[in-house]
Amino acid sequence: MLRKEFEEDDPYALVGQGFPCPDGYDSVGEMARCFVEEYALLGFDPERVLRLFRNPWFRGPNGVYRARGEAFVADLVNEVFGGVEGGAGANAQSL
Amino acid sequence: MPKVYNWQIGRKMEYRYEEAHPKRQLVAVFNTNRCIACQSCTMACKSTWTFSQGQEAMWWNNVETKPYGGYPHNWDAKSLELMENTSPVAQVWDGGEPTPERPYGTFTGKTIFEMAPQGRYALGYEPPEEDWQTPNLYEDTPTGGAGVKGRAFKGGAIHDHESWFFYLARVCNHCSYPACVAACPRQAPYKRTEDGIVLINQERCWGYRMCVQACPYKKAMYRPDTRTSEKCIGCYPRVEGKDPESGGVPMEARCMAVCIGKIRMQGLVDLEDDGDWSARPDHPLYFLIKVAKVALPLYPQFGTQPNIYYIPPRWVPREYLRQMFGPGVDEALDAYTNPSRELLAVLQLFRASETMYFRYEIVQGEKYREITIAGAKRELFDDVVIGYDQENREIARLRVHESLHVRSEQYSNSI
Repeated sequence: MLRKEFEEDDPYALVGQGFPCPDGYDSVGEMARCFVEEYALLGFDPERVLRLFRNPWFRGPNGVYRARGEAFVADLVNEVFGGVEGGAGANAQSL
Repeated sequence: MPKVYNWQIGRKMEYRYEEAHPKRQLVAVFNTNRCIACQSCTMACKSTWTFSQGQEAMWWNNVETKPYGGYPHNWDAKSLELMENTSPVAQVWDGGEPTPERPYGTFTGKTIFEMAPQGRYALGYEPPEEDWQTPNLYEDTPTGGAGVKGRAFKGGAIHDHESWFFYLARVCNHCSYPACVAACPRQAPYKRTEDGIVLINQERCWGYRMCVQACPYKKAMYRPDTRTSEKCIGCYPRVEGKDPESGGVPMEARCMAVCIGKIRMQGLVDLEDDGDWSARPDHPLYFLIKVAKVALPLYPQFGTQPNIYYIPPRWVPREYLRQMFGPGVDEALDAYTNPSRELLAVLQLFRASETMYFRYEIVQGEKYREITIAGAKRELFDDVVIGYDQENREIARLRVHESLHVRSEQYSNSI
């Protein structure tokens, strides 16, 4: 198989493009809500969803976790599940 | 120009030709929530139809990153800007209550046909050559910093996205009122009466590129070595059931069949003489578009009445989505976010068969889960959805309740 090694002067300049969100729009929060709802429909319980956010191998949810912190994720999980007794965050302390 | 009825914009509009409709129309639904931009569709099309000399920059199917990307570069931003700058009235919808004849309300702005320059039949622009090259450049790529050569190969990493984006898979929309057909001085593009597929007659085409200029989706492309324009042919041998694997019944296009994200479903819908869709609530595409109203046309304000429909991405700002898919976005996302029992079942049919569905039925099952999401009670039922081909033979049978397999901690990153 032909293989061409990368050369320093190859004319590539890979960049990621950011795009501003409209004022007041919480894109990370919306995406996080999608994650929680989809896993809830799959049958995950609140504690298991929170554990998944903590897991660095799940890059999307874990990116939210790192950007916003545990309290944000725990509140969202509680909100989506309609309020879990004791709170997912409280339960998660022992996980 | 004659007046034709465009149900997607809820009113009559000017078009070059008198209103006429095929017996059946090729239609597809793309679920953008599922697309991962793997480009399997792109490569399936490329390796089937556009692998020859002269077609190097030609991608009949492409997947682009939104809001930034596009093939050709910034095609939609350029088309919208041209319309905005040309229209004598605001490019807006009336906000009226939807009806079956105008399910998204009425677009009170001007379509590309109603803003055609003197002597032309559609407003448009011809992308410069560089816009057709390097599709996906600068889109969702590893970050390296502009001008930093080789960075992506030396420790660069995919960055965490702080802003929203999504992938938009695109093919020719096989429009009901194609701009390419309207624009051509030699009537080389035409719409087939049997299935609504839009083709370019290569013997009639003299390469004037009026179709390239007029198509607002930029899905007609010029081929320099033959000096003709080409476009997606809807894999018509498969749609006709002439592919050796089709068994003589309509089969989906290559780009649809290879979709690993299961975002696509393609079929044929029957049309009445007036162009309205024959009422077939047991046809999965009719159900998704006309009953559940979960799938919407791309830029309906262009006025071509496109026949590829999209389930919008649910995490994207609504203002952006309303510009892209029209005012039906909120209803579509409500339906998708809180799916009915029937919608959940029909969504299972995506990519379970290469043969086109012509009918489905649901066998109701036991309730297997009840949860409350955001204050609303959700009940999930283990229904079975069955899809049938043109000859009413069963071709797919799926349960709504899918098995869930999770790797153990020990193998959490094993591939």
